[in-house]
Amino acid sequence: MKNLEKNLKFLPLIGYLGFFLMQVIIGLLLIFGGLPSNPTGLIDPPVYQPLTFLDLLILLAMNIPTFIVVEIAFKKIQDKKEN
Amino acid sequence: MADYDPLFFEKLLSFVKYLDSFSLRNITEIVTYLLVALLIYHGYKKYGKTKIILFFLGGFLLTGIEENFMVIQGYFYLFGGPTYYYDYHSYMFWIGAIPLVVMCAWFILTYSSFQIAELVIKNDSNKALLKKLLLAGWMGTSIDFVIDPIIIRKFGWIWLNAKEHAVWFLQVPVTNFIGFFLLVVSFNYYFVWYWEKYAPRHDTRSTLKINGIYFVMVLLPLLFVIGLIIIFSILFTPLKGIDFSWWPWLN
Repeated sequence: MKNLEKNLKFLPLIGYLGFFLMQVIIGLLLIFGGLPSNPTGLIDPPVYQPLTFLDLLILLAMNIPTFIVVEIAFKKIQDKKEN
Repeated sequence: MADYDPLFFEKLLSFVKYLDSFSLRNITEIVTYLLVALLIYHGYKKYGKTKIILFFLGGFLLTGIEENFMVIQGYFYLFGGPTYYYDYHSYMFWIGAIPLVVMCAWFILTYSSFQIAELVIKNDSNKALLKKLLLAGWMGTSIDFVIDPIIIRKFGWIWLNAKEHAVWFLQVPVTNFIGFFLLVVSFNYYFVWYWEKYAPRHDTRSTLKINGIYFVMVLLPLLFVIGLIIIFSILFTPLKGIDFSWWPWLN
């Protein structure tokens, strides 16, 4: 709890990046077959082009500006901590 | 063509739809709930108990009504045909036609994006607030660009719009991303406006009344977003059928 208190300002970054990372892991599992798509109960499920590693890289690249903003926020919190 | 669950309407009000939804793949749901708990703790320390609970429940109400409306109206063909739905077998807990975890995910993105924007833009002026809102909206939508193409391949939700009835980006209707951006911006603005402008002006009212009005007025951003989505949908009419996805459709 004390640790959580100390790092309170980092929590929004953990929430945001944690959620983001979870999607990336699901994507990777889909690509490498670790997470079979399971259309249980769907009548005539839609057929999608399978996700490839390149697709995932492009999707991540679309988020580069967001990573920069998160990096700036991270640095600002650290600067404040040091001062 | 994919279609709604055969028991879509019968199971609409069940909190748990199918028992096969409790499986290891739902680990992502548990992680999402943990992230929500972390952010609520952050909000409790920053805003106090009442405000963070109201933020969470207000967002819950907003997304709950908006998404249930979009799914159910599509089921009944109220405004031009089917829209989308969530697979009843893929999630553990439900509020109507929407998984609980979707509302929680919405809270994570809305809250954390705005908090990050507040860290980056320090100023308290109206112009700075606008910048923070736009930055938060963009950050939330940016994650959505990753979520949607991945989760539709896991059949977490299924878009049912006919191809010629929408403009598509990443095999998702563009209005989905616009709606997401607008919801993040308008709800964060509503929260700031209510507690910094509206509540102090009516401080003679009881706490119960102030909190109650908060829940009624949360419908304002909802109406604003639904209105704008309808306008966008009409404006996009000449573009409908255009697909900006780099994946070719297989069916």
